[in-house]
Amino acid sequence: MKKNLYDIHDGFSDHDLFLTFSGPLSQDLTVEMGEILKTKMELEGASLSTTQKLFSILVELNQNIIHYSAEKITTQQASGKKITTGCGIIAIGKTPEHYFLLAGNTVKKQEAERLQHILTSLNEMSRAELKSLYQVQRRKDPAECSKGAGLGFIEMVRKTSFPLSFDFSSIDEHHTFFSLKAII
Amino acid sequence: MDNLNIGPTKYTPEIIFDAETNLLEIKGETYPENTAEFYAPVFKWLGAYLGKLRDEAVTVNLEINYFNSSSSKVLMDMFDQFEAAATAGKDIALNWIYNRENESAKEYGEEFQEDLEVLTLNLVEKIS
Repeated sequence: MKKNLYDIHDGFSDHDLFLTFSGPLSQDLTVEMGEILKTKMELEGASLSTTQKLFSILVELNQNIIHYSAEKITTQQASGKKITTGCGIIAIGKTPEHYFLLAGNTVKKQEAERLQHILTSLNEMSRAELKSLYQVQRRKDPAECSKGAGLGFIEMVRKTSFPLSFDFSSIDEHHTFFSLKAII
Repeated sequence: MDNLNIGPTKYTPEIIFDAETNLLEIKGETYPENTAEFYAPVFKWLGAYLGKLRDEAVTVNLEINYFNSSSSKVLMDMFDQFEAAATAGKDIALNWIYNRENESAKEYGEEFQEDLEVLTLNLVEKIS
């Protein structure tokens, strides 16, 4: 066990990761991760604009997992209110040139196909096309919007200087693991 | 009617809608996980307020440092309500207040501005 955890820790360093989380995500965790990220970037002398971009993408990635991960857990609060949240992995890293964010979660097979299609088309769009798509999607009603290119992904592509990289690994007949990387 | 007074949290803004002074203010960051749930009472109040409004001059001050993508949609819906009221002849001034150092907040204001037809979103630089 000790060896295993050390291997995982080593793996994080090998991949230039400085903040990682794996498990059920929540709004409070999103806020805390954001605070840690902002503090760290400020100490490293990152510009306000870079910090804002990273923070913004972190929020979208976290909330995507909370709402759309196929792996969910439900807990009951003291008040009796039940809360369902999604599970996934979030990792933030830094190479000498760039900051980057990684997110991973389980999705249903058909959702994987939809994501692949959306992300491929967003990556091919120009800045102007992304801006106009964002403005069009923003005016659609929520039901219509969640079926189209979600605002969150458009927002992410607009914040990065590089295309979003993504990958799908088959888990079983019905599920796929979706990984996404954004470089700032 | 009663004023709407919602205190700020780390991820939701302070909202003070005053029906007596006709000053509506939203200030802070907005990225709740369930945007529709958080803003439901805000839209309910706004609908009732705009319905009763006569020729009083209304000032809307928005000072939002950060909003997530679903809050962006909510803000657009809110602007649409103000536009509808302005189209019906109401006197509404919309101000988008941003910090000079926050370049993206200014750009967001400009993008909302492009999406409005009747109203002008005044971009106001705040010197901190």
